[in-house]
Amino acid sequence: MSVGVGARPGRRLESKRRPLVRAALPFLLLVPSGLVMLLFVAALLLLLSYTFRPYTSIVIEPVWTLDTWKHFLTSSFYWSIVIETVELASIVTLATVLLAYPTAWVLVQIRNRALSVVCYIVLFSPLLVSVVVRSYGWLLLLGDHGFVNALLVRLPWIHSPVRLVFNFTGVTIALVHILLPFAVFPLLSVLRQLPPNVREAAADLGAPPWQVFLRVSLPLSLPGVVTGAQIVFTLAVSAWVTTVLLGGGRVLVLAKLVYDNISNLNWPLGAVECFVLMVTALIALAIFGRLNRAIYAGKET
Amino acid sequence: MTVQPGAGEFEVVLEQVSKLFGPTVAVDDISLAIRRGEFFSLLGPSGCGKSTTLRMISGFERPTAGQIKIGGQVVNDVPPHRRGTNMVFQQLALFPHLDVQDNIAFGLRIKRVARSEIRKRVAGMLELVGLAGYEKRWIAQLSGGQQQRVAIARALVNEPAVLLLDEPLGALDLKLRQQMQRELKAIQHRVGTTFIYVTHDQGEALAMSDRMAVMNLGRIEQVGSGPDLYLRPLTTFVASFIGETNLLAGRAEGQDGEFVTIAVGEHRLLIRSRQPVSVGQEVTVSARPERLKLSSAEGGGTANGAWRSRLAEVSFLGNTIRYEVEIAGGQRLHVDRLAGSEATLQTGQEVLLHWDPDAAVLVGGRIEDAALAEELE
Repeated sequence: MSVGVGARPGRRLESKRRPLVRAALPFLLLVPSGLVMLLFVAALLLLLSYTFRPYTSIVIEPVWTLDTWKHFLTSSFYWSIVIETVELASIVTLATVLLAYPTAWVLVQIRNRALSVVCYIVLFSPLLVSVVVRSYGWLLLLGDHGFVNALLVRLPWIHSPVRLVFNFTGVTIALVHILLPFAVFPLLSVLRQLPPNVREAAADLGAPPWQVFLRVSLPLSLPGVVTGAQIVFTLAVSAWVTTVLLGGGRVLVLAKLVYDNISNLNWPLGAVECFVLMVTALIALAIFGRLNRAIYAGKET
Repeated sequence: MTVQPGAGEFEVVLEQVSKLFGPTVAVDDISLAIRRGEFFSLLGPSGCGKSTTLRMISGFERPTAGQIKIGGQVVNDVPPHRRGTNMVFQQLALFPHLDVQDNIAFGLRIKRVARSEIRKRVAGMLELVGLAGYEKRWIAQLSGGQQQRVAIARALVNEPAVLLLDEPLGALDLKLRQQMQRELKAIQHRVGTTFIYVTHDQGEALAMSDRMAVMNLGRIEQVGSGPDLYLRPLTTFVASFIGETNLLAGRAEGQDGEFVTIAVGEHRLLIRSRQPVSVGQEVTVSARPERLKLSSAEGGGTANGAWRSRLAEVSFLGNTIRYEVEIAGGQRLHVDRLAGSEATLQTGQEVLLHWDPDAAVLVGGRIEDAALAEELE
């Protein structure tokens, strides 16, 4: 008894101290990333303040104004660029997902280890090469005297090289190539985790292979499609290097405008364009998020 | 189409079917004839080939050799989606992206059954499995037993010629499993469909099946009704896999009509045997614990043919008392008595072990081929 009583205060002390440490630990771990986030938010706020400054060449004047916003929002030129940006990102997203699905499907089926390693290396190689090198590579391949056109002009109905670079097409091809792994990855994990036997169950219930795909495999892998599309869209809408190098100045997107204006030291307009780009991406994210929730609704406890 | 005489009686026929996976023989030359409307079980320990056999009937595996006939037609080359069979999977394999009614309607939609007809049949199925009112639930919102019922309804709604069930109750707890066994049996009775049920649980097979095939190492050991297999096992494996038994190695000493005298060590016993036995032949005797009788040896007088033995252990098991009797040679036999039916014998005392000619049967195979205890689990 006496031992028990003596031991009690000590235990109580310990139990008082422990929760404090335990409660503080997660926050301590958050400090480094918290500092980075803080810097980021501060920079964003600073950028936001620039959008309300007048453009007077070099110096930022300490005057508040809505002129830059008005200038941007009332100009059909800027709106057409917003639309072209969204259009490019949408087409790239669609093409990437359409290519990624069969790719992931085949990758999951491959049983041969060596073959699957080779496939993964080919698929993920764009991520290992510098974006500039990659873009120049595509310029060589797709140029008027490039490899692709050398093949194309041999076709009987094509007489002169097809324009594949310095336009929308070239940018799309290069972006799809770079972004493909980002769409394949989430699909791989979803396809690998398809519940066991559901495809067999569908076949057993009379579904021929294409119906098994349409009614079971595809709907069950939709979350992977949406996640992949979300990542690809976000990256495509703000892509700059590829757009500039393969667009040759002819493909005008928000990212390029931001760069141009800031190099011209037009900080207020550049800042407005930054925010328009960010809002565009956020709206897209929200739409994808809504889609994902609709797919998942009630199906998991 | 030529129908062989008597062929109409059988829904599923397997003729010398084998299945190899690479060098591994999963199913080894089995032949089976399953009657129309029968509740038939494939029973055996894991890895005995029972699931592979079921998957060959459903079309998910192609036999390496032999023929499978469903309704008189050879179906070796018919893919699963064109077979008149439906399967209830071990992991259920319900569609998580569909609600209960869409899960059940899946097969009917594929077959383009009219909408009103689908609604009627789905409602009827939900009624049958006791899930009326659950139409709009998602699969993830159901309990294990409810998911079980959906899986059964999803298969049965297609009115298959044969319903295949691959250990569908394995994941349920004991109480629910027993309840589902009764319900399955009742459903089968009502719809009259041929059920082929795969299980490793002999109690489950006995409780539900009209007939069953006991499988071991890819082969069929014996086919018969529950009482057939329990009372007249043909092999040591069947005798030990179904229920509990004592296996004794002996030698035939003589035959008198249908009675055979067997020598087990220094003991003798008389068995009624249906097959002829030659004198001197090595035999294996199987005796169920509840068929043996014990009496105290303290009264003196040796009853005719009784074995004088020592009572090594007494365990009270609730409804029964389990005696472990050590016979000459050291082997221990189990003897079961209903609790309270007679005066309890004491551990260590001398007892007499009585054999009547129907207490034991001769079985084929060696004692080493008996089902091991861990295989029974």
